[in-house]
Amino acid sequence: MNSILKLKLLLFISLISCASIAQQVTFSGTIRDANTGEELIGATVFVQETSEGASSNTYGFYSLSVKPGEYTIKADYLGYAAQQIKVSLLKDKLLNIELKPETTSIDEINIVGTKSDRDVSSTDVGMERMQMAEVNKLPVLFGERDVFKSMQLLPGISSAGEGGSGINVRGGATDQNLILLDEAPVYSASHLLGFFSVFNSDALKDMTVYKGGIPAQYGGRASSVFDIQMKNGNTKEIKGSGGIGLISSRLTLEGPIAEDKVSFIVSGRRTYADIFAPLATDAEDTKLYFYDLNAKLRFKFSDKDQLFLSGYFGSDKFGFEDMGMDWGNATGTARWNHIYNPKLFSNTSFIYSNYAYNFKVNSESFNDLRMTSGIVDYNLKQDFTWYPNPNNTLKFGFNAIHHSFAPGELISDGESTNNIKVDSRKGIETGFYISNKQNINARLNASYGLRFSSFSTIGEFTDRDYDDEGNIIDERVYEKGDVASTYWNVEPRLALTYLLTSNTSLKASYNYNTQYMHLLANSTTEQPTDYWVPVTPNVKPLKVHQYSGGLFHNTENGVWEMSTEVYYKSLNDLVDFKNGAEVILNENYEAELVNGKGYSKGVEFLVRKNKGLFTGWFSYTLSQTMNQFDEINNGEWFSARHDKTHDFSIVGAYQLSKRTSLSATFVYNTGIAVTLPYGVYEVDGKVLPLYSDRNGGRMPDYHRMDVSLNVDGKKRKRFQSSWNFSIYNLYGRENAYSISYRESESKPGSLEAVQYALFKFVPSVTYNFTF
Amino acid sequence: MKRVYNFQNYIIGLLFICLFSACEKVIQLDVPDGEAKIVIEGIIVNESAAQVKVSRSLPYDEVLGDHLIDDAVVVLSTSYGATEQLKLKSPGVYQSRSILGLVGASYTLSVTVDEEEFVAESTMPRVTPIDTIYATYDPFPEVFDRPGDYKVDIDFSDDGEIENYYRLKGYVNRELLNDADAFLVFDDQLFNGFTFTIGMVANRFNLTDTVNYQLLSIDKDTYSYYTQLGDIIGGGSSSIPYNPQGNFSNDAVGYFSAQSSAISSIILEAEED
Repeated sequence: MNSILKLKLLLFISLISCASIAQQVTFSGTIRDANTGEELIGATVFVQETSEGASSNTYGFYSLSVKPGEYTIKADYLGYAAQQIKVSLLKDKLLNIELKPETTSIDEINIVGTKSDRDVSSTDVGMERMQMAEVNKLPVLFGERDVFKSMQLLPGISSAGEGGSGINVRGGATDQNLILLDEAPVYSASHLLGFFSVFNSDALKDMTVYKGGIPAQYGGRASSVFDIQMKNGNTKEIKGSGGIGLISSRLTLEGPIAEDKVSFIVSGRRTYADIFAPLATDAEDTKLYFYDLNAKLRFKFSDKDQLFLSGYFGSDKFGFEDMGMDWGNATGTARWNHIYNPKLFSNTSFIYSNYAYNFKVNSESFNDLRMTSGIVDYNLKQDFTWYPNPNNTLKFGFNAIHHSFAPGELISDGESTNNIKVDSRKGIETGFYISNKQNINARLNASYGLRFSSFSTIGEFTDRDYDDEGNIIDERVYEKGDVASTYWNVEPRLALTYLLTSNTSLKASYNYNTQYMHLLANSTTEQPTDYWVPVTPNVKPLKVHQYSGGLFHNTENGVWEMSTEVYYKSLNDLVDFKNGAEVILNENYEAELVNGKGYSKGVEFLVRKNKGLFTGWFSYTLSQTMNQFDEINNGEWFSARHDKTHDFSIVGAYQLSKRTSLSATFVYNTGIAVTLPYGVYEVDGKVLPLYSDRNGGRMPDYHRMDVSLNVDGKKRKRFQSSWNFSIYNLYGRENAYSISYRESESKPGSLEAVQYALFKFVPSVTYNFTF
Repeated sequence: MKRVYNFQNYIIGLLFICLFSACEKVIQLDVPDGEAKIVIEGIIVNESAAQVKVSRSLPYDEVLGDHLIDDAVVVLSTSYGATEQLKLKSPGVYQSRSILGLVGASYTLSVTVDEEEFVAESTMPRVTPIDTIYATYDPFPEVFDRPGDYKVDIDFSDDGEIENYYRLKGYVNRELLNDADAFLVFDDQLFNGFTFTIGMVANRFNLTDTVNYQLLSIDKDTYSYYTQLGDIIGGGSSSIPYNPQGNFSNDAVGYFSAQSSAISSIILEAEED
């Protein structure tokens, strides 16, 4: 470690100890929902006498230190009745708090359920949160609720394609998002070519997205973090919920197994698209469906120890006659929460994760041919949160992941065919971090930290160097266990909030992130065959610096909330493909890659109405994302594919009556950058387009409106139901999904551009229930 | 190898069509500007004369017609020392008289248009003979709505000593199958040294049809050009579109290829086995 680092650490420690060291007592505990026992994330605890507060972490835990004395403590969480507790604090005290959900009367319906002054005072810059209640009312394709699609309506977050759950955050590519489900990274977050995300919203509790100012506990991806928490399971009574929709049905069961000690939640979803597939009538063995299964067990050993065992299994299957393919994720997580003392919270996670793709065909020329690719991870994570005093919250820990990358293998049982295997590569990724959230004074809050990350790529595999034409010029064989390359980085993270008034603040942030693996996806749509590869001596890690700042304001009564943020992001060692690159089953895939750089800059606006009969928001992003590769377009800068100059969303919900609400969304964005033809010529008897430089043109602009009507059934004692009717693409806009060219039949010898549009006017109905 | 995953893309494409009735519409494009390019397509097949077609690209919204170039200087030279200037045979098409394709020979083609010279080279691989050609009753499922009940395949033995690259062309009643899905180009990575079976996977034939299959052995450059061409004629919608990279110097579009050919034919008769 060099001396500058040491200095930084010293500075860090001295900053923390600046705070008063007078004798203090600590009260701590877990904040839960009084009805379900579910932990509440981000609930606040506020000491009225000292005006000091704390908020609960992802496990519902909070800790706050005060001088001994009598206090009035106020606990609060959005959508819940605030609770005041009078306590006498003479020594450390365990104070678990249960909050009751607010019974909504028509005058105070919160469709957009984020606590209103949260954005102003927190140090979270570029952070968005979404609660499931909010997601559930938005109109959505085929009536399939989807947190990822709902997030796309917020500024800085845009959809990677029509109807898809792929996401670009502030000019980042879709593989630059760290997607965590209960701490486990999810590699393929979508089903059915990207139209549905793998997250079954029934089983989810909360989702936090960082577009910028990414805290030091997160690492491994360059552009954003999607931290998703699953429900822990009702600890009070057995409950169920579910839904029947046009393309899938869902069922969730949760409840206690041993009172207050053991609880469970199981949630499943399966589509029945195979029933609608016209093929089904023809071939009996047609398979076409996907499913998700989430399960979790929670053991509470004492007030200090809790163990969570959870699993996610999801898969897509497609096949007919003598061929078939399937792909999916399986993850298993064991987490242990331990409270060492009222000021020190610890979570230890062990995570197994597996993404696999299989393709099988059995025909005359290919006898029982199988293709597989995938990635397997073993992941150990240790996180500590230390609450030394009310003004500082320290987080520190480490993470070590063993990755096994299998880029692709083709195996044949036939005697007249060869097998093809792209060497698998292994990697050890580590991260150590320390960060602190500090209230420097009444106006200034800061969050700062460092993350040390490293990645070693390990044999056995053959590493090759290539010349410009892609010919092998050098070759190195790494045996099992040999280290081919090691990269390491120190990633500083910083976020500052300065309160101008009690409801207006200025924020600034800087973060440096590195990414040691890339998704090879040389296709304009999400494909299950896309695979992950690690950095090697030739493929460098992606490095991103992001600077952002913002102005946040809430009106006094908390009804309106406004913010504007600007950002600038520079990306170094980006990876892209040469023209016509072939990466599937290509052991020389590295020869198809080019290295370059990019930047993205933008300004984001959000105006949101949080309360009243009418709620909703307006979001607008003006941005530019450019890339430069020496080998592409003669080294000139060009627009990234997902560069959308203007991106608008309007979301509105109106409560028509106590049981009926109407909501609508409208989106508009500049067409993505694509390569268009400028000429026509003839080769091989075919009329062909002559293309311009890469991404030299634009798709037509995209816009669409969706509406939905939500009708709650009569409230009964236990059973409650609701109907959701929605129309996706209300006015039937034919948005270009892709454009292809063919010879015109009416004018032979000339080309015509054929635009394909998906999802023109898709009505759907979903029936949801809880019991 | 290309074929296996093209196959996968095909399935994925089917998945789209089955699930979502995509609406398709011809649109007017707002296209960027660019320079016209010289287009050269030169082929010499074993035991035949060389044929070179010279043309230029037209702006996107124009109709091909006057794109052919009749005043080019086209010169072919061989590794065994022969050189010949090709004569214009029909509009835009130049043909050799004395030079005929010879297996194992290398050829250099030079085309000069308006004082700009474009040069490319190619070497003719050995002929890979077709062992058998045969038809099987195997209609497509009805949903595909394609005529014909019989598929036709060939068996051929790949030379295990070298890397081989192939193009298969199909003709029905002497007419070339020229659709995107009849454009078959493949290498021997999967079946090096083995006997391999292949046919026009997307075509079915009727009784009384005469079907010719031509198995062309091509060099690596031609293979690379053809696979890229295959990407483009497949609609160019799945990967980022680009112009196939040919082997001509000076940025000409197109390619020059020396290829060796084996042909087999079959007449589909009523009493098929």
